[in-house]
Amino acid sequence: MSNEVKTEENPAASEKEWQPKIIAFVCNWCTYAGADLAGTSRIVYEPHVRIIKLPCSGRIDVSFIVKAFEQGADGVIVSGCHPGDCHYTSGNYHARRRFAGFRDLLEFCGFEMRRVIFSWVSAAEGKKWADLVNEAVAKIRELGPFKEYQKLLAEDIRAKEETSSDRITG
Amino acid sequence: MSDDNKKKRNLQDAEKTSQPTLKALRAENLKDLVQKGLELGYRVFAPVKDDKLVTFEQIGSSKELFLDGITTRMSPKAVVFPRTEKIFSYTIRKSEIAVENNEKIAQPTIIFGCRPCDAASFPIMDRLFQWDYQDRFWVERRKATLIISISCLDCDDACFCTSVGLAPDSTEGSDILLTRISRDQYLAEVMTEKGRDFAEKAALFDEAGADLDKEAATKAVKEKLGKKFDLEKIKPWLDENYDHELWGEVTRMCIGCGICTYVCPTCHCFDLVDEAHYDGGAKVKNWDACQFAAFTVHASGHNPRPDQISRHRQRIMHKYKYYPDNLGAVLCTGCGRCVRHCPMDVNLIRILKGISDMQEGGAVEESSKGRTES
Amino acid sequence: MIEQIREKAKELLTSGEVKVVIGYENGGLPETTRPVFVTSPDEVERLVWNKYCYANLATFLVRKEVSSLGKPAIVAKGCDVKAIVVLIQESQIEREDVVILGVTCEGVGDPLLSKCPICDVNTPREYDYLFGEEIPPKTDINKFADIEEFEKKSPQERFEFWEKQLSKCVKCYACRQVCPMCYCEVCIADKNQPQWLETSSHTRGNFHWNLIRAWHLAGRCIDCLECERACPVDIPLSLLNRKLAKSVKERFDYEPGYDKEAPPPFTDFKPQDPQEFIK
Repeated sequence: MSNEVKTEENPAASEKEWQPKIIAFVCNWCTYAGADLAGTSRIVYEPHVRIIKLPCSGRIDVSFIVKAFEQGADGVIVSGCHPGDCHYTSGNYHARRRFAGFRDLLEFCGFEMRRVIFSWVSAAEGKKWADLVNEAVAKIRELGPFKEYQKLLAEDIRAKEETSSDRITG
Repeated sequence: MSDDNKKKRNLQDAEKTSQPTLKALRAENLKDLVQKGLELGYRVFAPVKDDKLVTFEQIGSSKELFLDGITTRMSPKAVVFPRTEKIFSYTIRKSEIAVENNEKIAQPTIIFGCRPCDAASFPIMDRLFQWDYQDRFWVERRKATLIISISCLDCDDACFCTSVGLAPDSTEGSDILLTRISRDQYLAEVMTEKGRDFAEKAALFDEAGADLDKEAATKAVKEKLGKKFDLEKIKPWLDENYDHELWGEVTRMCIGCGICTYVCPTCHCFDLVDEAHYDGGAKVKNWDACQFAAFTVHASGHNPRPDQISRHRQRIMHKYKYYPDNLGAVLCTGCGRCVRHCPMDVNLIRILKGISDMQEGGAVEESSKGRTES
Repeated sequence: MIEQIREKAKELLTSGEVKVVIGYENGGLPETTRPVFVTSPDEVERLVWNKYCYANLATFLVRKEVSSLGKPAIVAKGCDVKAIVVLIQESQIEREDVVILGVTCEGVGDPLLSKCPICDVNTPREYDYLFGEEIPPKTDINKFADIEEFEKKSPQERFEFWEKQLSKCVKCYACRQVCPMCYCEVCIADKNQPQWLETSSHTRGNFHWNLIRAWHLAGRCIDCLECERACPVDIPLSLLNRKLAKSVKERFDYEPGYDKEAPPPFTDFKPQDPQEFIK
């Protein structure tokens, strides 16, 4: 079953097969608190998300998403306060415009947009957070690792295996 | 300094045959020559066309060749001096750091179909890369690279090789120079041991007949090229006029894009950077450009070349004064790429013409002569 | 037309109203022009106007090598004027600190550059003096036809297209240097603490650089296409920049370069901004 979580009965679940790597950029005041609430409420949900806390969704730059993919992420979640509830009044309004713009740009460049998930999750929405993560993991599992991008990493200067010809360019 | 440098000749000198061997090649065998190179296990870099872009790429078959056109967009220097090159990489595991040097630098390579101006750039840069430090990345790649150039039978308004002491049929830097004498025949001048070696293995060359008149074949293009400025007058003017108001006048439209340095076959500045990661990384050598604003920024934040005028002056000074002073050669082969591709037409030819017109002439010292004898 | 421009330039320089006239002069190669900075009334004959006046001279308004000469007058065609408008919106220059010598233009290049058939600023929208017959703006143009065409490709095809194109990038930054809107004193590509954008030329890094540059121009790029003209390896940069222009138009009903009073779109927001893609 695709939603397999490592449990006592199935300790090998996340050890041998590929598991999605999802990075979540979340705002401190709402989504992070919401994720925290999911924890304190003892909601069990997929563990394959790594949370990066930012003061506000307005801090999120498109570079973060691109870098996450560059470092091997298979999916990215971006989340903040609902419009109107921003701790800094209007950070998420600016963020909303930016998300729209760079989402369109990434889609234009052929990024699979099902790998980039935007949401508003408030501090009271622990359940919503858990559902969001479960959905994201399920979707990414279905899509598989982000091979197209990760192939570019193999060409990288840092890669240990030398590619067949040195990068010439021109 | 200059005596020492005169001794540090280019890598090719050591291999030069005492007398170039003249051979003939049937025009129909030109592509076979390339195939032969591929079969013998060389990597072959040759001009390839992609829509409007003609540039050097590694080819897998002679079918990909594109030899029409004046010259390529980017020069072939990237074959010996790549745009991006790993020096070493490292991985961090717990308490151990494993360092891996880039050993596999040189593979047998042929640069095929470059122009004499491109071929001539390599001996010029040899002087720097073997100056006070033997740059093994350059030296080893150079040794493993065979250069087969093709003389120009045509030129455009940006070409000026004849103004810097070269010619559309110059053999400088080539292991083999091919000149099309007629529809059916090329004259092949085999200049070095490396060239002779390859020619023998390729077994496609015939003996050269007396009728292979290179002079006649390239007469028209040489006339068309003419001479655009007097090289002898350039350095004397540069020696005295660092602060001249001409610099502002001719470089104010320069926007510091760096295209001139990137397309140039003799520009060679590079930057060493660290590309680090939490569990490892690499030290990388990348092309740099004196035209970039941050090129001379000091750690203190001070920048001795704070504007584009001083930066562009530097480029011209480096090519036509500092390099001749230090290493005995003009750092320019007149390929014209900087002139062709500058978005703002800063146009080196008109600057040099302006300078040579301004300079009154006079005695020029032997050591500061622009082009050395080869 | 050129005689009138020269007359006006002479007048402005003689009276001292401007210290430099930024225009075009004949280039050193056939069919080229070069930016010229005329500081003396005696030199106005150098100014030319023809279909090879490609360069977007607005880029010089924010370069200190030119701004140090004093108050400028600038010969500007419609697309260049849009750039000047954006610079004014972003407080890089004050409207009263530049004299705009607007020229009407049917297009540059031979054949015409791809931006010309879809241009609706043949008569510049902002100027102090206008030269040439007024040309009514085209109304039946689809500025984004090629973007729409590209969007028909599958994500896979799109990714492969950009992978191939961006693998050619040599990180010369010519696109940035030639752009009037790239005026940051320290570009994000030049920052190395931390190093967001590597200077190496591998496809991964090239992808990042070009995405960031397009992104930083979102809502600001006025499609002068200078970046594409400058690029030494023929990357179709205008596709990226204009895709964002299309997004900004559709989502926020904004087009840069037309209204110098309008707030730039990413410094602004509306409570009802589209968010159909947000869960």
